[in-house]
Amino acid sequence: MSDKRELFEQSSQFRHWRYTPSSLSALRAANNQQGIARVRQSLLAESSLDGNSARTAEAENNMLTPADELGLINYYLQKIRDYATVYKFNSTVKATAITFMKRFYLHNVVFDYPPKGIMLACLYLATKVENSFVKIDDFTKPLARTKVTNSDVLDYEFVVTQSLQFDLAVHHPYRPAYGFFLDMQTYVEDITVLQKTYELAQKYIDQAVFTDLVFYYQPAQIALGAIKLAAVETRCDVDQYLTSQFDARALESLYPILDNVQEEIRKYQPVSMKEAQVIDRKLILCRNPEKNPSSSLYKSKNPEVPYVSDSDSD
Amino acid sequence: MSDRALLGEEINKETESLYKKEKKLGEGTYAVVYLGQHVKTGRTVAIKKIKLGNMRSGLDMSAVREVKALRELQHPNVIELIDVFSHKTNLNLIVIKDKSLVALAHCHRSWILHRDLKPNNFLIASDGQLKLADFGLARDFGDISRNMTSQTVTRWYRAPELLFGAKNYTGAIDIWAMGCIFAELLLRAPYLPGDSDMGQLTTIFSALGTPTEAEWPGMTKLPDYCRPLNALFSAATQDVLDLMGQMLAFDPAKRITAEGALRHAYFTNSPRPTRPAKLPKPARTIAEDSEPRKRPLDDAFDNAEAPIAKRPVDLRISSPA
Repeated sequence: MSDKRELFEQSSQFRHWRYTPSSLSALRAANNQQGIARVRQSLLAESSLDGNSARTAEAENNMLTPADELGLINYYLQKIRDYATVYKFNSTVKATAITFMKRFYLHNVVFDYPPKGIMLACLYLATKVENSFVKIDDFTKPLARTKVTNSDVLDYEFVVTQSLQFDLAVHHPYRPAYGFFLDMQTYVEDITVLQKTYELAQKYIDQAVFTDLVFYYQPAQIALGAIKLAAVETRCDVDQYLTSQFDARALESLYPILDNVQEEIRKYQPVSMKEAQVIDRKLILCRNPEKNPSSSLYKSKNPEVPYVSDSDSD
Repeated sequence: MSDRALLGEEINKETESLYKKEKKLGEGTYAVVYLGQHVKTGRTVAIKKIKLGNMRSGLDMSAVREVKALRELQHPNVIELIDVFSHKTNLNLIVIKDKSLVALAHCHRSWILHRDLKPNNFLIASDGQLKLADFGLARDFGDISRNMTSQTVTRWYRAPELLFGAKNYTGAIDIWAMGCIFAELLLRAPYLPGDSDMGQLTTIFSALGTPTEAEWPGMTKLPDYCRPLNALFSAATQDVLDLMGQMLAFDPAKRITAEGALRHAYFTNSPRPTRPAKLPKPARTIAEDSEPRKRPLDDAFDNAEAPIAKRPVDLRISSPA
């Protein structure tokens, strides 16, 4: 047991991507403030360029709050899941892409990089990381209707990997959940009930990966919380297993964690398209022109697009 | 908190500013290696610049695999990745300059397969420590529902199950490669140099005998010439032959694991291994060459390192009295 814990502690996930609820909200608030300051600066620079100062007032009335940013990010996290289902990518690819995007916005703001573009770059990178590589042409083919080009995906690849600080390995609760399921078969009498519990737990894990639980707890803890939550519904007794595996002191620290995990999963609410549209409309007015390829400020600073991917022939 | 950059791009720029490139050490097909320096501390580093500009699908798989594996592995015998940054469309890995089985056991314990073990990928640091490098083919394993490619590992070190096209394999493929390297250290020449994929199987069978159904259940018995290990390795002790035999077991399920090999009597019986600092080192190092030579990447990784293949080091040379 101690050996396994040491191993997880070596992972980049443990070393670089752990937060408490308060440190996480402080970080997001600081990002949001700095983001707003940069938008103001760029708008000023742009108005001196083209004499249009009306945009500044519009932007001031529509600045996104940290909650707005999170709402829009969460909406597009759901889109990752939808896209990944269309492509038939497995749950690991989905969860890795979702985690990539959650981590990306700890080092970026929606003002600079709207999640709509980042979402595809995260999903494409996740296919490579999780050994499910597809050629870029095959990846964008199903998106032809939405006019997504190869460079719409690849142009963001560097800013995404930089923001992930090149930590590409992500651990999810799916595998530990399977391990617990195998382990518990010795302790739970009715295997069909256990099977049902495991299947339900996987659905709860699908929800958990959208939440901030991934920044608070280890994958095995989230897995166990999801199993506990499922077990309540299927009336499966998993406590006997827990008491056989952990001593009283360990259980004392484990139970509050499992309670929190269950609580967060229960609380999870998807963002509706309507809510997202409201935020999206505000974003059009307060987007940072410095990072917006269609703004006059961007065009004056970046006379030509550097990426060569679309023109070369492989 | 306030003095640290928050944005991904700024963190990347900060990282980039920590290092400066000094001179080119070598160039490979997809990367250039430079000798460099950590500006503040003066620490010597190697900078591996991976060229990605003309990759149609963006970041290529071997770069993704190498970065993914090395960011997770921290071990004295695995090459240390200190930092990564990207510049335009180049990816730059900052690395420093085992005991091979110790390093491999650590990889397998972390559920990572190396998949390209060969002498060129073991480097000797200036303190005599062995470092495992080049994780461009590495991947995580253990998920039986996912197939993996059998077209991996340099041919001479490729395990028979890969040559038979196995899509599900384990750390046993890395052990086979280690067994071949072990034999190469004793012979001072490649042990199983097949000339083609089919020829590789023939080479293996003529050296180790054709596996029987009992040895490797699931394999059909074929009549062929068999040369026992001890005829070729006449000077080797029983421990050596036993460990090598276990590492080169045909049935991957029966092949010894890295952890198991480390517990083998070979490592505890006399003669004891030489301490890293006392191992012989090449007289001339790459840094002393005025002209940077164009050599394969693995051969030019650090100013104070030389690949084993160029100068075989018998790990069991006893230390001078």
